[in-house]
Amino acid sequence: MKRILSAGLLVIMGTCPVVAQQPDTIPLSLNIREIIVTAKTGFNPGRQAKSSASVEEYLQSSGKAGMIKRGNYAWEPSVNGMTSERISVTIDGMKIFHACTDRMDPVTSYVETVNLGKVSLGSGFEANPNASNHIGGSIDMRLNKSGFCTDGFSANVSAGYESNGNLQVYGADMSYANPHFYINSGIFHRSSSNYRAGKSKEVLFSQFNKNNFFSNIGYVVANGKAIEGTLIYDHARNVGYPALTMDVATADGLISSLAYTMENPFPKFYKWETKVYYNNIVHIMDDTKRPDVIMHMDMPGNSRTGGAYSTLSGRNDNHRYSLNIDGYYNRSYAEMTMYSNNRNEMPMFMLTWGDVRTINAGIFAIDEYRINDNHSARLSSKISFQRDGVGNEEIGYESLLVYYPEMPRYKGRIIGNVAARYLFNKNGWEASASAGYGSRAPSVSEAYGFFLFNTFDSYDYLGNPGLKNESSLETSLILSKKYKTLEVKTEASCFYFYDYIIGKPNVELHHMTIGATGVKVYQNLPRATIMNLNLSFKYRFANNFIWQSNVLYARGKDDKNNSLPLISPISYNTSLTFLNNHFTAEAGINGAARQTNFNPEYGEDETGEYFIANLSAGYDFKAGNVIFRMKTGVENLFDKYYSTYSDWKNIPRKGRNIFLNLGINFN
Amino acid sequence: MKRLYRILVSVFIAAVFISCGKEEENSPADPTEGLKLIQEFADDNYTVSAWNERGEFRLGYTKVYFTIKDKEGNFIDNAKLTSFPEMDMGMMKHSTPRSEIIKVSGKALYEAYYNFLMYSGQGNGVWYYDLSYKVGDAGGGFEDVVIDVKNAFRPDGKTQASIIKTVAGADDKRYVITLVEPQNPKVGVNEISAYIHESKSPDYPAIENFSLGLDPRMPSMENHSSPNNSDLIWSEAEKIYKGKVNFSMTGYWKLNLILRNEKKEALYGNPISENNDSSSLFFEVEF
Repeated sequence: MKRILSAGLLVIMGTCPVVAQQPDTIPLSLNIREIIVTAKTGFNPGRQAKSSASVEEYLQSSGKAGMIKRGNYAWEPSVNGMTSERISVTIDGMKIFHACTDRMDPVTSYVETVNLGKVSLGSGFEANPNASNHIGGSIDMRLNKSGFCTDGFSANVSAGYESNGNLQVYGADMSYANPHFYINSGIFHRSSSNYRAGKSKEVLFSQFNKNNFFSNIGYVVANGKAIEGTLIYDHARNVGYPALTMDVATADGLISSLAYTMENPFPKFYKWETKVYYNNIVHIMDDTKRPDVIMHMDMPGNSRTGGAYSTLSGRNDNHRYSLNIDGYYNRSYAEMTMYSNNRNEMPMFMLTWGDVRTINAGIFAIDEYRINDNHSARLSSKISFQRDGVGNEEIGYESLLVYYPEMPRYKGRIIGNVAARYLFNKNGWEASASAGYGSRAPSVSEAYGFFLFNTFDSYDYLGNPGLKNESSLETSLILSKKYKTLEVKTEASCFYFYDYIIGKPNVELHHMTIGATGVKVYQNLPRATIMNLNLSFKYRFANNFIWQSNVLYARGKDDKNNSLPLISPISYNTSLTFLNNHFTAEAGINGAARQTNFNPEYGEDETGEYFIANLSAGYDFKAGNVIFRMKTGVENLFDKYYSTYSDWKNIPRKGRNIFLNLGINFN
Repeated sequence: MKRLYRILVSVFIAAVFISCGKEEENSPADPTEGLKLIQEFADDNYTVSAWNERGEFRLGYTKVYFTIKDKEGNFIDNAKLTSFPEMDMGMMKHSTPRSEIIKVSGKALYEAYYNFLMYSGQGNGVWYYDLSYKVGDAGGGFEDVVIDVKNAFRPDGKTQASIIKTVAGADDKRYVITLVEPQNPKVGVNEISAYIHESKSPDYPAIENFSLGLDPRMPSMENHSSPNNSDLIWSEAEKIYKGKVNFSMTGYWKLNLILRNEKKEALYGNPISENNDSSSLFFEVEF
């Protein structure tokens, strides 16, 4: 059994290195969380979520990422209370941007758990070297590659069923690996009907259907030199968004990359990885299934990103360092055609993203200096040049000129950050203090979005090409103490923003969307602050039990001390886990206090307190070369009807849900 | 292979010849290039032809170009042309606001505009057209030629477009207001221009130094409007009222107007307010 355990962990931890044996990431940091995703071989008591969970559920279960929900599908992750514009979301270092102007498709929705090995969550400027425009944090989804192992052939099949919404998950993947070559490939299906909120209330338009295919391939071309390729195709269709006025007909993501890795390219450098990538996202909205459509419209969107990066990692004595250059080119295009109810009238056509083109190139360097066994210091910096503008002159640029007669078609920006951290550890104590200063460019919607309707506050949002970069001074303190059976940790982070970008009403402009309250234009607020505080402990007792708890408090304020939107109230979770070699069982509750710091200006209202209880049990066993895994449980045991601060328009979350997951692994 | 090459070469040479030949045919700068013939008026000595881009007279602003040719087919560039359209509705007759016919400099071409108040057949009316010319000492003309003024439709091809209006001003005078530009509206910033004439047949004197307040709206979008529009004010240089209209999207736009005199007193039309989503004076633009 122990052998299985260690073999499993080996794979999960990704210790089948591409080339070198040295750790290939920046030294383990207290701030970077790694969430293990792939439902891979073997027994992993550390895995918290059910194996059929979506990427979003994995992220949510980490307690480090919040989730803004507009339905049952494609939740939008937030880190430190910040979403897409302020965090960087990458796939294995690749930039990828959503194609929906209404944020119906955060890029995390274009991958499946089976695609991923782990997710690195960074806070503030601590991030993977390829992150850009990240001011609040970063999420890097690391791909599930077999690596150049000696595993030979293996295969997995899995199935999951959830009672609530009749959710079904089926997956199959296989891999072949030897020290010179690997390939792993899989297909995945996930679908659900409408789910029921607590008290059996059906949430209409919460269905979805998703298929995913992925393949990774690697080949050692010469000793210490390898080529690796990745292809992911993700196709979702008939996705309902109960919190919005429209659904999605199809959302397609094609993600591809080709990487070349060299071991020990130069003295004092142990790894050099260079990657080129391209991804294409096509997102087609659909309002034809809604009974109460005021005006039918077509809203397709497209986001294409191509890029490359090259990372050189090295170590020398007490230094570990990394150099990185990266560049990408994104084109974001979204159109809207509205069909007047007066059928004699011509359709109304506009570009909501007028083929916005962003080219960004940056250079990054980091060095961690181990002063001695107890002290280390780290310094990192990134500088990028960005040029963005409106590619479509005829409609995209011309329509923005109506609102900004002086605007140039393209604009250059310099963005960057510098961050430092000091880490002390001794006798189980660990303390880290870090500070950073950096900036981000406005997002596509913030700079060039054209009448993007936000159902949350019922305003049309107009981009502002004259926005200044937003910058932030970020500090964080982490203190933890490990005893033999107890771990206690406290973390605090504070972001002090300058030129904070947010939409403010402009009463002189006429809204476009029927029923909208007005128009908000993105502006720079002189100041804003976001603060996060997290306390947690983990206690092991009686050999087989773990009790862990986590409390989170966050606060966001604008320059007039009003609350920023979508900031979590006090929330908590606590769980008791039993585990032995084959069996796990967990009982947990999570909840939140009443949201008192809300802001009606952004469409928020008070969200009540809630807590829900979950139970689960899992069993793994091995027969010959086959490992069986099963997990079952019930979520929201008491069938509470509730919604959280981050549920769009207060759509209720799932009521009681009984799940069953089965997995079989052949080696 | 060689044969294929030869064929290709000969095709190429032939093509060059054909295209050159064509050019030669048209080379003595045809002043009507890009224009379509509306109607011809011919006598024993001269042929006067009316042209424009659409090849038709149409309700509202209609720009018309004229050429005059002698019997040998030579374009005459020193003629003087005058015209007079008149609609006969049985009980009454009236003309329509129009300009003089003036020479286009550098071309054997003459231009004028007519702001047709009605289309042919409207109220059972018939448009009669007088045209006279003078070339040196010789002169001639055509009288009571029936012309066909088409109706102007919105893009649906059925609904008449509102592009010319006759209103009774607060000063007890009647005015004709005619939309000229934008003829090819686009998303973004558009030039807008209009004529104001006093509605006094047969001369319809052009009114100068008034203004037209402008408020473009989309009625089917809860009266959505665009910012940074400019009222139409008199351009002394171009002898027309000019302003700016901004379209944030394609579709049906209602250009609400307020007619003001030189003292800025409102003569006709009303501002848009909560209780009033349209002016009594408006044009329609749809694209």
